Amino acid sequence: MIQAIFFYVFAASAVVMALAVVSARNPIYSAMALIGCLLSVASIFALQSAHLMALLQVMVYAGAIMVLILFVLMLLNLSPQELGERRVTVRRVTGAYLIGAIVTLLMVRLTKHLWAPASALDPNFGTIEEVGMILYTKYLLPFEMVSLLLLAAIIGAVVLTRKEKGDGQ
Amino acid sequence: MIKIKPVSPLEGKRYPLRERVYLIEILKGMGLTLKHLVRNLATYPTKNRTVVTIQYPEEKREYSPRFRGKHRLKKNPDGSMRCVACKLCVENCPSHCIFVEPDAYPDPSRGNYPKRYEIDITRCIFCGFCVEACPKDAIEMTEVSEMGDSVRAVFDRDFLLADGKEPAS
Amino acid sequence: MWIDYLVWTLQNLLFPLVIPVVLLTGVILAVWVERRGAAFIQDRVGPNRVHIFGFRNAGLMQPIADALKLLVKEEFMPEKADRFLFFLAPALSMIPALLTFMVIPFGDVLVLGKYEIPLQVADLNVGVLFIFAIASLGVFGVVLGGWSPDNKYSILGGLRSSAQMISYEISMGLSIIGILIVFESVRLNDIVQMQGDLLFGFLPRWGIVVQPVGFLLFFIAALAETNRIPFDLPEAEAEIVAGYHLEYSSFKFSMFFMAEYVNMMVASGFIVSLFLGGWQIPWAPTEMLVEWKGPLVAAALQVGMFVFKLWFLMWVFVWIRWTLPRFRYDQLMSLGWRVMLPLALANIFVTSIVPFVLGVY
Ligand code: SF4
Ligand code: SF4
Repeated sequence: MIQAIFFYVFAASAVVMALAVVSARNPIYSAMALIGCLLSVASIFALQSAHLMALLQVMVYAGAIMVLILFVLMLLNLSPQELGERRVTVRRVTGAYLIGAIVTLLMVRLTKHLWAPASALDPNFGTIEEVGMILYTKYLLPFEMVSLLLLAAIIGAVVLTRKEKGDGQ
Repeated sequence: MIKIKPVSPLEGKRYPLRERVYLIEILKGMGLTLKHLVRNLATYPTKNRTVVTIQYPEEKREYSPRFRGKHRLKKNPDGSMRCVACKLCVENCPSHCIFVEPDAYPDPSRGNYPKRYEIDITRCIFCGFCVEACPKDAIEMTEVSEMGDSVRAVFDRDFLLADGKEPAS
Repeated sequence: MWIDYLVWTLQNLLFPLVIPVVLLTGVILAVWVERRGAAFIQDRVGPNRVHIFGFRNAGLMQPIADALKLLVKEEFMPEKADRFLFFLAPALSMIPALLTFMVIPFGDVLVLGKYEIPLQVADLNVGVLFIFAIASLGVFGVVLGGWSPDNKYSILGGLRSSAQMISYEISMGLSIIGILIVFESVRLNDIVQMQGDLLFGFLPRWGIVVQPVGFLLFFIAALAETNRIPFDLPEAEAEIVAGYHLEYSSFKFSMFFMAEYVNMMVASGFIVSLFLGGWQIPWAPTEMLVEWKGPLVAAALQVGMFVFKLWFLMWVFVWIRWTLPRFRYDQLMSLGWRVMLPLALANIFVTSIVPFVLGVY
């Protein structure tokens, strides 16, 4: 019962925050709202006993990536003039309509499963051991591929930022 | 970009490894601070403290006998003022903080005396030029250094006359 | 039974409510240790005059007077400041600081008859990660505190701090992986529990013994994360006045100030739990203490041990602060990325290899 209450509180806050991200005029506020949204989603993860997921969400997204985004926003420090006027364009209206349609469809589809009985979880569900086991057995190949991708990205970043000889003298 | 050549005390030579590792040197430094701490704490309750703080209102620093503190107008042995209101001190004061208004004694043979003699102590820089300039040796500087007052910023004649030790001869 | 409710209340209401109060009171003590310690290191006496009815208490009244002064001082808000974020920033730096202490165990599970009271607010099975996750949120307070007042020095402080925190968080995270490998758990209580064992029959199996390099790296990273000298570039008084809390006054400033000390305490508690045996009294496991004087005395001794270790580390923080000068920015970055990171990786590598070489598995 109390879990359900918390779930709806966090779900509502996640939606409100997500709306704030796209509607806030000041990019810093957008970033702050995004952090709030990520934290709400992390709380929902925690409620679903996926503690590891929740913490990784907080640590990686809210703690590290958002700091970088804020960092860039602070460096740019856009003034209200540079941000431009708030406009309603055809593209935006269409986008909003499409998103609304998809959400409605999903809702209709999902409500069928809403009252399905909760399945009992393994007490080990969501622990680091369990996640690690699955990652290194069932999903070994995708996992390694992702790590290769990340490695390539790191090397790319290093190459891009490295100064050529004789550069910037 | 301007390249600034790093200047090291070893003139281009690298520091020895022991110093480049840092940690040993840091530990040495911490040993030094600990030594001071222990010594100061150990001697704190005893008579010969190693802390250099002078607990001001209770303890006072010893001043040199030539210390230039608050001014004092000297008197003749008969109790009359030595000052003849010649205004040489006024002329010599670099911060223009002395004001002298001369007046004549009723007895013309005794010449002038200062009807008003005021030093604006908030402007005085305690250079002692007034003392040097006085042909009559009528003004001197005492060792009094505590002149803080909430009512008196300008020291008038009687205040200057009254305070301090009696003239030496 | 009413005693059930009592135990439940103790665990779920009393600990979460009392521990922040204890931490904030600890700030007073920490400020006192810092100021008097600094003074004696520098051959001075330090603040010793503030008194209540002539009751000076070796200067302990000074931090209380400071706190009162900060409470009643004028609130100043820069004209161009972003009001909402300006208010939010101090809270954002305070909350994570208080929250992280919740998973640090300060004593073994207290067994009273049939009741088991863990001396810890929340025994998460991902405790170590929880601390990292929440602590990584602390940077937002600093970043927003730097950005919102629209002051060039503040923003420099905020930028420096975000760059520094991200750089050192990586080395910090990597430096404890060795510990996690050795103790095979991320639950802080398990890690502390296992540090009660003896190596070779006499050496306590503390984290610092089995992971000396990890300890060193973690300690340095913790110094950087708490913005202490020699890593206090975000507030470098000499260059950027006071960095991110330049425009803050009164109670908002004191929030930042207290958050720094609470962070220090959390970092100390965390290091104690990971590397210095937590609440373990060397050579005296819980069973022995319980047998000797009963469970309550045993718990009290262990909590006392934890507090002692924590304050010892706090003192080391202070000691380092008054010994070392501040790093230059490029030195800071090259230490973080070129020295600490490779060392941390090498430490993980060696830690994972050694058990195989020695044939432990
Ligand atoms: S000490 Fe110097 S400044 Fe002061 S009154 Fe004399 S001449 Fe003027
Ligand atoms: S104090 Fe000396 S110099 Fe000044 S007016 Fe008097 S006699 Fe002249």
